[in-house]
Amino acid sequence: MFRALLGIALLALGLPASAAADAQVSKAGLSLDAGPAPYAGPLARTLTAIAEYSRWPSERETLRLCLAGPSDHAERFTVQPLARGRQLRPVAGPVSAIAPERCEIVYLGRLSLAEQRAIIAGLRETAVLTIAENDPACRSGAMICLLFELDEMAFRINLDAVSRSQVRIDPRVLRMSESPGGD
Amino acid sequence: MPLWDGTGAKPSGIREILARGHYRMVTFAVILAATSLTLTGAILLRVFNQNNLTLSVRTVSYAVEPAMFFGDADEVRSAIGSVSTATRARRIEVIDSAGRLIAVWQPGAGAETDLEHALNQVIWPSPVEAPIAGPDRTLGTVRAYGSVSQAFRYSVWGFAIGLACLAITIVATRVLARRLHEEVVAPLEHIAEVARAVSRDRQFGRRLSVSGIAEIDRFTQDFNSLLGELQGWQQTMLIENRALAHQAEHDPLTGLGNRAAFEREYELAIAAAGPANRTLGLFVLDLDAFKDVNDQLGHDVGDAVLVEAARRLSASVRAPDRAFRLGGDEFALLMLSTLPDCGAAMVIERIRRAFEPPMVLPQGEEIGVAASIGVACYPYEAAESQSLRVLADQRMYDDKRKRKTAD
Repeated sequence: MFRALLGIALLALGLPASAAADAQVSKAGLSLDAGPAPYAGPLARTLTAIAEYSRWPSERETLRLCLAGPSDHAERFTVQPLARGRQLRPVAGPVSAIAPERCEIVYLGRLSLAEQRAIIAGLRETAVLTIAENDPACRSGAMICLLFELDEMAFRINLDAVSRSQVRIDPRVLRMSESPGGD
Repeated sequence: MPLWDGTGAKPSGIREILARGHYRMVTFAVILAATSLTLTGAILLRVFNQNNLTLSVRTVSYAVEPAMFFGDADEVRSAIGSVSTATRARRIEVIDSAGRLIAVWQPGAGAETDLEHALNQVIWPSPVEAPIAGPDRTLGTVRAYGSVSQAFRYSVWGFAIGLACLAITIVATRVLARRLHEEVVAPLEHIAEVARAVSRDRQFGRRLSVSGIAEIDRFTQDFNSLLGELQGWQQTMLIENRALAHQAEHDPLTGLGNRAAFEREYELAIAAAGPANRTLGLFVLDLDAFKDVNDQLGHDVGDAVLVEAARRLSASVRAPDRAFRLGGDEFALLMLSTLPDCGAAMVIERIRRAFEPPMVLPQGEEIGVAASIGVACYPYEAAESQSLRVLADQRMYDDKRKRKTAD
């Protein structure tokens, strides 16, 4: 009996320690939709989620999404209701109308780097969340830079801009982003 | 004997008995302790792992919530991995609200043995679950499946350590048994030695010494008092034996050797005379008219006469020669001598002179008592004991007849 048990014991001791082989960390990204506007769905989800997981100093029921400049994707943006009765309302207007008191979120469309920087300069250290459509390297100073890649949609977060802003983004969302230096 | 008899084999292996007793006791104790510790540990680990799993699923649920909300499966996987480094789960699953499997995280995939797998099914039959609560709705569920590998490894180590302890304890038991053996068996051997001395060599004066062990000392006291009683009995018996032996060989009235003593001494003297180059004179005496004394003066007077006759006979021989009363008024003398005729005439003359003075009876009267004497001398007159006696008796009767006719 003892010998048999000892055998089991040795067998068990000889096992490889179950090393916690970390699951592969893949690039974060949303898969695209099929059809003529593959980025519409993922973009809507991304904007909704970012709005959902961000906190403004003063809570408003309507979050105004100001579109700055022409956009390849945001025109077909479909509004989805947010939690706790809040909602996202896209607001179209001239770039000159962009001001902190009129927008909670500013979506920078197909603008040049200089134009983007100009707008962002006016929003620095205010309670406005800035999202850039056309800045994959995230050099404009926007807080969130969307990446429309061939097979997926992702975003980068400019932590410097986020830390200066009065808008607080859930750290779990920050984690999800691709940092400019690569993950 | 109360312990064991000294002639038989010593009861073998008190040390073995002690060692076996210790061995069993210790084995039982160690196995009991090891088993209970291992079991308790395994149960505690199960409880801790349960808590760990609960915490794991909550952490995972919190970590994957935004990614679930975004619908980013890769990020869900990554988030599980980033918060699950310390989990005890063997598998964590994230399922969306529609029941689809979004991500699976399995740290030790493939490292599980069949035995562990089977144990997992028994000990963790169902996973621990936590819902993923999104901002507006429940986004899905996190499931964690527990693993026995830790508890299993703990049990195996517990078992191995238990075995090691057992081995050490068995060695220690041997040593302890030897020491106990010395402490307990030494007094027992002392008892055995004394008992043997008493039973074999009749050394009733021996006593046990105090051992320092209460039970043995109580026994020692009883044994010593028993020895004391035995010693008393032994002495009484010796005295009685001596008295009985004396009675068996002596005539109670006169104190002379009786017929039994005579028979023995006679044969011994015959056997001793030849080799010693001596002659042995057998003298047989019979008091004259003793029957008349007895009848006319009474038995008391008869007894007094016999006692006085014995005294006079005894006085006329020197040790180692002895006088015997063969019965009634019949006496015998055995006298070793260097003379070829045993000095018969001289001895007879001495006896006659001894009987010449009248005997003074208790009442003060005086009475003259004479004896008829027959003598035969070994080995010149008869070569063996029977014919020597016949000859001596014959001569004694001749003498009696002669004396009667002379009257």
